Amino acid sequence: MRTRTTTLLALTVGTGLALAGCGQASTPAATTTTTASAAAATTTGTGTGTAGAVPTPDGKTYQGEGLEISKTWVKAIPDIAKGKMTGIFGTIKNTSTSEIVIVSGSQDQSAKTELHETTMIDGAMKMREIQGGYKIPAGGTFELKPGGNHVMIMDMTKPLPAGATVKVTLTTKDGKKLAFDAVAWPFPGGGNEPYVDKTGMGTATPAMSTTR
Amino acid sequence: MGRARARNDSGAGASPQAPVQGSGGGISRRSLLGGGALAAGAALAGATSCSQPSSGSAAATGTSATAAAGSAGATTGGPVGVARPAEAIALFGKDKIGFYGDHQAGILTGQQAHGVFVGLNLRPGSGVDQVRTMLQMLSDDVAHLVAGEKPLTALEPDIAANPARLTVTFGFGRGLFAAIGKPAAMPPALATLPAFSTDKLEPAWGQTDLVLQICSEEPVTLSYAQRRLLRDAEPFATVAWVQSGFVNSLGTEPPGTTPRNLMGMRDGTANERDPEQAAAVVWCTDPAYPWLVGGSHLVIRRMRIDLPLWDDLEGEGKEIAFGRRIGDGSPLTGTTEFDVVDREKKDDKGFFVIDPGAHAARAQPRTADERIIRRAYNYDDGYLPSGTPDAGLIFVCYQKDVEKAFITVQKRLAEKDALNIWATHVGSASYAVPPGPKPGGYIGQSLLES
Repeated sequence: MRTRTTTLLALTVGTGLALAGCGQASTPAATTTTTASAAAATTTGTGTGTAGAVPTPDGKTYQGEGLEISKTWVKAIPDIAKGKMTGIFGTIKNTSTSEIVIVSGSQDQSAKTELHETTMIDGAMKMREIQGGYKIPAGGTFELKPGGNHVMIMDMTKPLPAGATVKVTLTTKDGKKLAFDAVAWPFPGGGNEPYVDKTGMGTATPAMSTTR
Repeated sequence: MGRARARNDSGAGASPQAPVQGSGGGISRRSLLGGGALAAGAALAGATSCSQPSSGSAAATGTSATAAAGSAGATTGGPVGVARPAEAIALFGKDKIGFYGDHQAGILTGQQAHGVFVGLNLRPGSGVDQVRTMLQMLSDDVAHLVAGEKPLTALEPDIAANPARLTVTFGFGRGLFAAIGKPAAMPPALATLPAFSTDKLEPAWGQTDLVLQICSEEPVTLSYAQRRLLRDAEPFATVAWVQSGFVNSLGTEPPGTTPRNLMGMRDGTANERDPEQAAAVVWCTDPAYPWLVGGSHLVIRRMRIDLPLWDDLEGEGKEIAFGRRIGDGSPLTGTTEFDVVDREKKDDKGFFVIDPGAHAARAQPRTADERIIRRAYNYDDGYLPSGTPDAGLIFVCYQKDVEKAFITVQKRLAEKDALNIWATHVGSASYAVPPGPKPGGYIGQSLLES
């Protein structure tokens, strides 16, 4: 109980600091983004938000082979200088009659994509690449959410402003694909969990606490 | 009696949907428990301010309150706690108002108790793409919030679960039209209101590119909706002002009762109550602005009111200035609230019954085109450096043609209106209100894709 209280206090303080440091002034300039198909509008940002998002209230559902995903989104990274990674989220459903294992992903923002889990390591919540992929039972759903499992865009080289669209593809163990779009939404206060790399030795600064 | 009440209250807790009914003596459970919660002051309260219309006597109320204070603690959490009494009231947290349709919600929607108006300015360099994206994202948020669902990127559903008739209404100021390269799409009279002779406008409450009117019966819900919307607007726009207002709480008076403003007047009596007539007042039909058909013209005026001065206006002064009775809002030429204001009627000495300078006389529409739908909220924002309350009215009106309606009437009021002594216009802004979003679509689609 004492430990939990301490952790919450630490989180609160950390969030406060992160927010206090948020400045829009450093928002990057022009970013060209290919937008969701329905909008069919490619645009050049002007340092604020980027156009072309097509969020629909219940979220578009993207179909793959035996898989579908809805409620897709990605955390915006308006300032690349403060974070070079971000998370992709959504609800995956296995519409087939056998277990499906998602083993890898790719996206159009960077060359490196990892499937992450967030877990307790040495008494603190940390995120790391999952071993063995995401196993989704027949007919089951699998949540990708902040603070939980998420697809990580690594080594970003350009900002991802709010409203921009990321094109994502997930691949299963037997080579099937699930392609979808994810719109970038503001998420200025999150991402407190440090990232632990594959070896478990090194750590990286999390992206999300510094997105503004 | 006290023990009997306590048992009733325990039973009521098991069926929270049961409507509140006054007891035989006209004293509701709420009044009893309210008195109980204020046990320390119960004697005073009972003697001076417990004025339930049909309660027996002040002494009886005081006695009941004291008894309830002693016995109701078991079910309410104690008379000195902050927990609300577990009495039976009609719950309205799950009441929802739809987002999609021909018209935006929050206009011809029964006025919710709480209303917040947020003026936003687009970030420099914004163009049609930024505006469209922002409106799409905010529309997505609103669609979830008014349905009692968490917004897409929120982590927990709980705080969003009680929309309590939440509505979010969007208005576009001239700066938005300029940003998207369509300045001519806004009716000119609406783009820039004329100066009125009585204006004492403060820039802090001036025109913005966009306004969000967020209304709910429930202030926690409203606050959450506001912060979620502004969070997602932040990459695209900055907040110029926030005006928070309120009217009488749901359940204070029977449904449909015209709310009272801080001057004590019934505010909105002259609104058309017939739905067809109200629709004819607010919804744009002008084919010159096809994107705006089904939309409306919105004016928001911040009126600071010298309430201490008003409070001490003696005798019949208040009613002469208003032209209506304070008690029931009836015109001085009538007997009930909705009787017509007769500006010609004279008394037996030959004087006009309603002074020609009275507010009700000056504001009365001379033609059908002058009609507006008032949807005003009171504000009370602390004290000015002078020591007087910074309080008044967020005057809000909708109409289909601001030039024929608000502007025409406000010119007349600026010329002469007895209430100008107390009410000073310190803020002014006008907006084109787009029609409602199509299912799956977004606010402003007809403008951005025209």
